[in-house]
Amino acid sequence: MKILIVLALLLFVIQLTGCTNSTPRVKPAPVYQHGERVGGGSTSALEMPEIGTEEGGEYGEEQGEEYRVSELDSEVPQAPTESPVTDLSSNSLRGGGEQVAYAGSAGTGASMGKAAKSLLDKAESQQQAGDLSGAASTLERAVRIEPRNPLLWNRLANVRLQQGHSDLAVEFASKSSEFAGSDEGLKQNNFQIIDMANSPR
Amino acid sequence: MLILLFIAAVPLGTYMMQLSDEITTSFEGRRWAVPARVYSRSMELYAGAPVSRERLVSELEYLGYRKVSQPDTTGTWAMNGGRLLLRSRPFIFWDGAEPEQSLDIRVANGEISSVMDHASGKEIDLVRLEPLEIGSIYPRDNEDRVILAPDDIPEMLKKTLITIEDRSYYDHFGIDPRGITRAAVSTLVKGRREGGSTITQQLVKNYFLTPRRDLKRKSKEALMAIILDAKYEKEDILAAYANEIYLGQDGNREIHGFGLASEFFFGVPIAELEIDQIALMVGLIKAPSTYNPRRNPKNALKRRNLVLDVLAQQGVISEGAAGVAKGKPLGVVKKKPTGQGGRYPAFMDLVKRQLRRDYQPEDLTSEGLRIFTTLDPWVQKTAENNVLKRLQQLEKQKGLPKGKLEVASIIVTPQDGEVLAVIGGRKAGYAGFNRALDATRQIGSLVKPAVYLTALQDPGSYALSTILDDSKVVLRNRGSKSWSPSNYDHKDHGNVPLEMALAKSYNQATVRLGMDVGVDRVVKTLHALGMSSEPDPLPSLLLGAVNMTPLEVTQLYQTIASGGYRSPLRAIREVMGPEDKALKRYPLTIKRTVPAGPVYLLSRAMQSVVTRGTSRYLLSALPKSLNLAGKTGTTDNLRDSWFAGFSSDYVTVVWVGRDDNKPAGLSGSSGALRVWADMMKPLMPSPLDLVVPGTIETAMVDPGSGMLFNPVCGGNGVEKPFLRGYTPYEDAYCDSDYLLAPDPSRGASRQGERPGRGYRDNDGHPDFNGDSWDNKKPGSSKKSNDGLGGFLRSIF
Repeated sequence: MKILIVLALLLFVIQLTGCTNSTPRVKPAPVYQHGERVGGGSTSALEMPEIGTEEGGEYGEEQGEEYRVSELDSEVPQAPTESPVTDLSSNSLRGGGEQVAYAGSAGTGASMGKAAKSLLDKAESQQQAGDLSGAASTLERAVRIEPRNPLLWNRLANVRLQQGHSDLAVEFASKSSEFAGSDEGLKQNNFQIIDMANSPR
Repeated sequence: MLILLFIAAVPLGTYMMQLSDEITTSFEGRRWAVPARVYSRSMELYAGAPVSRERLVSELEYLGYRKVSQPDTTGTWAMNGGRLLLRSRPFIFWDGAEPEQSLDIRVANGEISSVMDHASGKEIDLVRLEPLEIGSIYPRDNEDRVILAPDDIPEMLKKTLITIEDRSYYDHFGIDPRGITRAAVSTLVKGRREGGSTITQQLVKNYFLTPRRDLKRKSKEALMAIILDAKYEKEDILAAYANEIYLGQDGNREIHGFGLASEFFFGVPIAELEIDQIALMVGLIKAPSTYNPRRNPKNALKRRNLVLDVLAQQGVISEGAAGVAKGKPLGVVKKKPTGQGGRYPAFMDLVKRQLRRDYQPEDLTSEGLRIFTTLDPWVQKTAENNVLKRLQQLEKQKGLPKGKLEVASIIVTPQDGEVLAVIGGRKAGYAGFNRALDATRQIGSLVKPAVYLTALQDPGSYALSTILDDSKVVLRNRGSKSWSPSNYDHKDHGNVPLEMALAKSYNQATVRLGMDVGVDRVVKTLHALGMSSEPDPLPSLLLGAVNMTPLEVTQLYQTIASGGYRSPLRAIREVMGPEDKALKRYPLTIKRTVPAGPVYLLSRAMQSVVTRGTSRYLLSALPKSLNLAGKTGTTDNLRDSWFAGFSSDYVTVVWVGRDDNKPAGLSGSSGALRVWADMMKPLMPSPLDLVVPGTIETAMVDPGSGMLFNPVCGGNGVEKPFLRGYTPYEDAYCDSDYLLAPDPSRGASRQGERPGRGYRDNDGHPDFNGDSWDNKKPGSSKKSNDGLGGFLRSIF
C-alpha cells in the first residue's frame, strides 16, 4: 500500500516537473480571487417605480462615468466667498479648477456645525482633485447631518453642474435658494448655476 | 514484482494527472460564492448629533461592543461618569477608511455634546461608527460565509485548529499515513470508526466530493489531498479550510467558515475572539449540531473545555490560561438572524427589490458585494417595539378579535427620501407578507391633501380661508346611480373655511371642491406627488377610492414634506465590490414637482389637522411645540385606518387594518394615529419649521367669512398666509347673518380685480355665469363639459 503511494507520488512529481501545463505553486488559493466588477443595467420585474433613483439611468453613477470631467468644468460659477457683496462684483465665472472659499456663516445666514463644515471642506478638496463623485457623496453625507443648510445644497448643485447633470444642478440650486433666507449672495450664485445649466452647451 | 508494480502505477499516474487537473480547475477556477452583505446606515458622532445616551448604547450593543471597565481593546466601551469611553473599530467605507479610535464622548439632554480623542483630549469634528450588518444575500444552496484572508485568521485559531484537527499538518504531505493507520486499526480492532483525516483531506471532502464513506472515495480523497498539498501553500489551504468548514445552522442558512461563525455565535469580528470562544468554535467542527452552544449548551461547554485541556496539554496555552478560560460562560449572544431576511426582513425586502433592478441574482449571491443601506436600526427598533403593544391595546379596548389587526409603516427622511424603517406586519422580524410594500389598500382621506393642493394651485379661487360649502352633495352621472357621500359624523357643516374642511376631513366640502377643480387635475397632482398608477378620474377618487401601498403613500407625503421636491425613496446608498472597490452609488436626486407656495399652504392646513382637526390626539401625546403636520384616513366600514404625518426630520405613514379586508373597527384617528404617536414619541422628532417661500404673504382675515379682517366689527382677526398678490380684497361685513348662506366663492380673490359685491347673488349662491370663478383658470372650461360639474352646479 505504502509503496504504491510512494510510487504514485513519484510519478506525480515527474508529471509536475515534466508537464508544462501545470500551474506553478506560487499561485494563491482562490480565496482572494474575486469576481470582476458587477455590471449594471439589467432590468427586472420590479414594478415599483417609486423606489430607487427614478432618474437612475441619467444620474446612476458607475465609477467610470463618474470621473469624466464635463466640458462645463471651466464654467462653474464660484460659490460666494466671505463677503457676498464683493463676490458679486468679482463674479467672473472663473475656471473650475480654481477653488472656492467657504462662505462664512455670517454671510449665508445659516450657521454650520463643525461636522458639516468638515465634510464641506473635504468635498471641496475632492472637487479640486477632480473626484466629483466623491465630492457629491461627501456633500450628501453632510446634507444628512444638516438637511436644511443652503450652502450644502449650493455646493451639491455646483458639483452636479460640473458633472454635466444640469437638471439636477437646477433643482439643487433652487432648493438652496429656498433655504437661503436673506442670503442674497448665495441666492445670486444659485441663479448663476441655474442660468448656466439652462444655457445650451 | 517490480514490473508488476510499475504496470499498476502507470494507470494510477494517469489517473492522478486527471485528478490534478480537476483540482486545479476546481480550486483555482471556482471562485468562492461570496454572498452580498448588507449594512445599515452608520451612526455619525459629532457635537450636536441628536443621539441620546440610550440610543448610543443601543447602537454599541447592536454592533457587539463589549462593556468593560477600561476600553483598551478594539470593540469595547465603558461609562465613566457622564462620559462614554469607546474604542471604535476600523472600517472601510465607500469613501475611505475610518480608523480605529479611542473616543471620549459626552452626552447631555438627548444629544452628543462633545466628541474628543481620549488620549489627547482634542476635539474631533466627526466620527462614523461602522454600520451594522443587517443581512446577507446567499445563494440557493443556502451557504453563507464571510471570507477571511490568511492574514485575517488569528494565530490562536490556526494553532487551535491544528492542535485539535491535524497535529502534523505542517509536516505531512496532504495525508498522514500514521493517522490513517491508527484509524484503520481502530476501525478494524475496536469496530469503531475514527477519523484519520488531515485538514487537507477534510477540505477535499467538503470541497469536491460527496459525503460517501467507502474505500474508493477515501482513496480519491487521499490522492486529491496529496495533489492539493503538493500544489498549494499550507497557509492557503488552511485559509480555504477555515472558510469552507460547516459550523452551524440558522434556519435554512448554513453557517460556513469561522468569519461568519464568529459573528453568528459571538456577535463580534473574528479578531476580537478570546481563547475560550476560539475553543468553542473549533470544538464545533466535529459535530456542529451536537455541540450547538445555543441548543445544547451542556455538550458545548464540555466539548469546549476538552479542547482547552488539549491545548494546555500540548503547550499551546498555559494550564493557568486554560483554567481561566474554562471558568468562563459560553459567551454566546442571543441569536440574531442575519440571514436571508435577517432581523429586518421587511426592509431587506425593499433593498432586494431595488437591487434586483441593477444586478443579476448570481452577482448578489456570489460576488462578495457590500451593500450600504439607509436603515436606521434605532428608528426601526423603536417603531417595532411600540407597534405591537398598541395593536393589542386597541384590540382590547375596542373588543376586536385578538390577533387580527395588521399594520404596516414606513419612516423616511423628508429632504432626501431615505428609508429609515419599514414595518411589514405586527410580528416584527417575521418574513411574511410585506404589507408596507405589497398591501394595496384604499387610501381614504389620505388623498385629500392632493385635492386641496390642486385647489390651492389656483390662488384666484382658493386660499386657506376660502369658504367651502359642506352641505349635502349628490352626484349623478348619466346612466348610473347617484352618489351622495356623507361626512364621517353624518352631519352637514354648512360654511367652512377650506383649511378647516381639510382639518376636519369633511367629505361633502371636499367632493364639491374636487369636482370644481376637476378630478383629472387631482389625478395629475397625485402623479406629481409620486403616484404611479393610472386610476380612472371618477368622483369617488376624491374621497380616496384609489388603491395604493403604504410605500407609495409615503412617496406622496415625502414630496409634500420636502416643500414640493420629490425624492424617489431610496433604501440603498452605495454598493461596493470586492477589495473595497466602489461600484455603484444611488445618489440623492430631487425634483420639484409641485410649486412651493401651494405646498406651503397645504402644509399649514395639515398642521391644522393636528391643532384643530381629526388628529388633535397628537397634541396630548406629543409636545405641542413640534407643530406636526398630518392627515388621517379612514375607508368605508372602517376597513382601513391610516395616518400620514411629518416633522422636520421624519415622514411616517402608518396603516392599520385586516388582511381579509374585513372591517377593522378603527378610524384613522382611533387606530393608525395612535400607533403613529407611539412610534414617533420615543424618536423625539424635531419641530416642523416650515420654510416660508418667497411667494407667500400674510393678511389678517375674518375667520368666519375668510374676508379681510375688519376692526370696525370688533372681534379678532387671524393672520393667514396667501400666495403673494392673492390676499382677500374685501373687508368683512359686520352683519354676520348672511354668512349662514353657502357661498363658496367668498374669500377667493383675484389679483388686481375688485368687483364689488356683485359676484354673489342674493341667495348666497355663487354666480357661475359671472367671472367669480376666475375664468382665467385652465380647468374652468372643463368644469362645464364634464357633466358632473354641471350636475354639481345644478344642485346648488
